[in-house]
Amino acid sequence: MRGIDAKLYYNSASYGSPTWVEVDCVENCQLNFAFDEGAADDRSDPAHRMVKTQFTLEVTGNAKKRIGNTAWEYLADLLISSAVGDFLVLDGPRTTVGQRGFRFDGQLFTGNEDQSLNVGAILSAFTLKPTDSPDDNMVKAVKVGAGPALTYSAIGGSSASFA
Amino acid sequence: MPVPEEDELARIDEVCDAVVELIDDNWNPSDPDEVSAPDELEIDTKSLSGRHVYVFATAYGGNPATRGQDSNDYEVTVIVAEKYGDSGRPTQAWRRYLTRWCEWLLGIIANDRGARLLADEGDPDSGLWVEEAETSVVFDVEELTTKKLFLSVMKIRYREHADG
Repeated sequence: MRGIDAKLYYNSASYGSPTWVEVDCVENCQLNFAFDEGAADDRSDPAHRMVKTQFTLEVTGNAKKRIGNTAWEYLADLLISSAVGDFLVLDGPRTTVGQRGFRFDGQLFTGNEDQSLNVGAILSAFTLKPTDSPDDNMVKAVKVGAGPALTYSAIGGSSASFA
Repeated sequence: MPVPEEDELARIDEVCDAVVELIDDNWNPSDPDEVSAPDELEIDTKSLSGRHVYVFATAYGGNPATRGQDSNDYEVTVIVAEKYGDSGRPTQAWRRYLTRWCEWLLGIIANDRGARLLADEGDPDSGLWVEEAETSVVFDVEELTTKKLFLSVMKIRYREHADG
């Protein structure tokens, strides 16, 4: 899998019947996913034992500013509002079976820009994080299944897996 | 991706033609002065008259800029040639004026703050901007000395972000 083929989408329709719009103005992107660790030591084992507690999900990167680009205009407005977006971040196109990622209701927290003289295209450094949503949608693990169709799984249970 | 049609131009040739048009619009040369984008260059120093500006395609290449766009560079070489028409040695005033004229020309074709080449109307993000420009030969000393020919060479690298 190549980084250039990874995808970030936002939903321009409803949660139950999404229309995924690719954020194609992304330059670089980082998906950060990590569980917090809780101590689970007891006297039965001299080894430290750790247990997963909550996880952090964060999508960061640079988006090229493009006047009139649908995705860029959406991000620009999301940055200055308290609106919640429905995002899909995958390691490849949502039309390729086997690609994996996450779906989450998120807010856009940053929009830093380097406007130095030697900068070619101005990029906006973005940070997306899961947030409270009116429908209280949980973060979901996503896998592109046969069809192709997106399949969703809960995260955290002992038998959790990409569907 | 389909095979290109017979009359389709490579982007580098479109860039050359756009540079010719830009020079023509600003200079407005009248015969025997001219600006062109030839494929060959043979300067007949015995019969050359007027000022000639030649635009050549020299290189192009690119890299991904974003997931949706590529960053493509196009380099053109611009040669200015004029023969000293009077008898005797070329005067320094003549040579210096032509150097100043070339400086003006570079300001036109390498204007980093001006309108972009080949921009689509209504799309401020389209078109080529100047990434790098230099006059690599201010004037060729040997050509001036042996043939009374003023020859200056400029290289301009244009860049655009185009849908990948």
